[in-house]
Amino acid sequence: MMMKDKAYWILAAVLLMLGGGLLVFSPAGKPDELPPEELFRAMHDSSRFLHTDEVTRRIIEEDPSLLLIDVRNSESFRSFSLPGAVNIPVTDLLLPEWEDYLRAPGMEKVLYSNDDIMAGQAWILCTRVGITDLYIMRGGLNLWADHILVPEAPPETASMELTDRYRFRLGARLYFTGGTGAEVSVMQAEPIPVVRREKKTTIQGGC
Amino acid sequence: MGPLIPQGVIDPAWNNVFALLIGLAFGFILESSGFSSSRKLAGVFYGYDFVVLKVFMTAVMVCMIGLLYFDYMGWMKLSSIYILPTFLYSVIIGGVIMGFGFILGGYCPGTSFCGAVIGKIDAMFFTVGLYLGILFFSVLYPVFEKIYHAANLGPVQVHDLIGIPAAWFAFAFLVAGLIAFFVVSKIEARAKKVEY
Amino acid sequence: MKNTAKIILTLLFVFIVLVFLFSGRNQLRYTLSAEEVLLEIIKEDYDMSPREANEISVNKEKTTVFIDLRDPVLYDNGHLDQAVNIPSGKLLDRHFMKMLRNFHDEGLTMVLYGQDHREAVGPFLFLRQTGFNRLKILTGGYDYFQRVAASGNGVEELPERVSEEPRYDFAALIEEIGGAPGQVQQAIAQPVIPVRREKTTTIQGGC
Repeated sequence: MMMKDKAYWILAAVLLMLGGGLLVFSPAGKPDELPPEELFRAMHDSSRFLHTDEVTRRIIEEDPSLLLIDVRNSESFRSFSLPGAVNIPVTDLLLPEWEDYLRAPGMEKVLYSNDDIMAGQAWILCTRVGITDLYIMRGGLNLWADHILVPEAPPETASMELTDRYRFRLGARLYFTGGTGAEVSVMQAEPIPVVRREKKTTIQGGC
Repeated sequence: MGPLIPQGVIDPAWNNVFALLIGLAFGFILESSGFSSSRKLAGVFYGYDFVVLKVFMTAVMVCMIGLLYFDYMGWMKLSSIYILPTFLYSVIIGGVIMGFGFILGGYCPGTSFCGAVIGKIDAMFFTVGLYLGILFFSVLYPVFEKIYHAANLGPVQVHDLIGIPAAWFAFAFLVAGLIAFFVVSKIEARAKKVEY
Repeated sequence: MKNTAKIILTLLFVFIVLVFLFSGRNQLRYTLSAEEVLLEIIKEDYDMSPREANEISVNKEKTTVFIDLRDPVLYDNGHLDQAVNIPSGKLLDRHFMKMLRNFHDEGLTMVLYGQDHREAVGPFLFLRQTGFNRLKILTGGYDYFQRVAASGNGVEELPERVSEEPRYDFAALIEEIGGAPGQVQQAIAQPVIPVRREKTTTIQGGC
């Protein structure tokens, strides 16, 4: 009996110590936040940027998995925005009412702003709080306008690829500026392979 | 880093291998700690043997501390663990039924198999009853469906509900568990010895 | 026999505890909550103009250190005086992190710059939320700094792609090209609110 009691006290002490340790090393942040190292790694993954042509193509094709998110203020949004975009100003990003958009499963969320600085900041913030499938339209609306609204004609000696791209941009321009009946030649671009992170993993178990 | 299989560190094809190994170990430990005797489980309710309580509480405490440390070290994110949603009424009703089953039969589903394979006749009956119960529930599922899915609280955790940090809850749970162990050992000492 | 088992178990336990203690050491931690990071983004008080930077450089002020985030090759080709080279992809390398911590502990203001403005934005936001609070960004990056220096510190137009200012009046531009006002506005479809997928059946276990 004496022996048994001793074992109990030793084990109890060990458990209490470990439990006390938890109080000292209280976990940082909320549990579903991305650890800093992973955030850093994600920041240096260039696949988080989408090209304006790619975004345009998917808008025209009405890609159901595309969710455009306009992070500018609502005034700019009202004056002009990309078709189908949702307006979530940077200041409102963390509000719970937008969670369903930002965490929509199976959707590829593409952030854009006038340039891509603000969208980039929004991306870091959202990625940190655990939002996945998040992209940035590189160059933002400024570059988008450069490419789609006022495309620069390639020189005549340009490669097929460049000419095709120019033709696509002209078609897209018609689409966006109201040429409803216009034929839009959708660029046969290689789809950018998107590595989809697995959805929340499930571990089921019982006792 | 973890969980290893869902994160792709280990190929999912290994799932069944691990399941088998862990199952074997689980069965072995159940048997070797005497859980294949119905008196052991019933003992908790009659107050002469609290091994079941001790074993499962210890398992919960070790697991809880381990996971919290793993989370702290960044080895395995707690958020990547799937938490079953809580259906309040199902849990209460199911708990009551299961509790009665424990007292009446002296087994829980896992230990009944342990008992059955070492040739305990009551365990075999229990296993048959288990399957009858599953059949009964499945056939009458449409009747139960409403209450089965009622009061869905989602994947809640106690510390979120009462709004304290997980570490504090874990610590409180530890203390409560250790006190419970101490108290039941006193009760055990007072109870009459039971031969298995 | 029993004693050996005990000794082995004890050693194992001690080993595990040691691993715990050492592996948690150099871990990065968020020092700002997501909400605080958002405030930081909105505040926008972290810019340092090239002229200011030049003054510091000339006076050799000891309170400021410049951090060159570009590749070592570019750094070797020319950099600000008093600048140390920490390529942005290697921020988390042990010795660079130590260097940054030292600067931080000495109370120095760290001015980050890349080739252009945006290169510094990501690292800035990352460092800002992992424990560094005296950070600035050199407006326009190295390119702009050089141009300002070349113009004799005269007032130089901000280079493109530094700010979030729109370069076009997008709505007007579209109207001008398409001549069909309102078309685009109609095209803005309100996206369907994504319904969060319920977890389907789960395997429940019991003991």
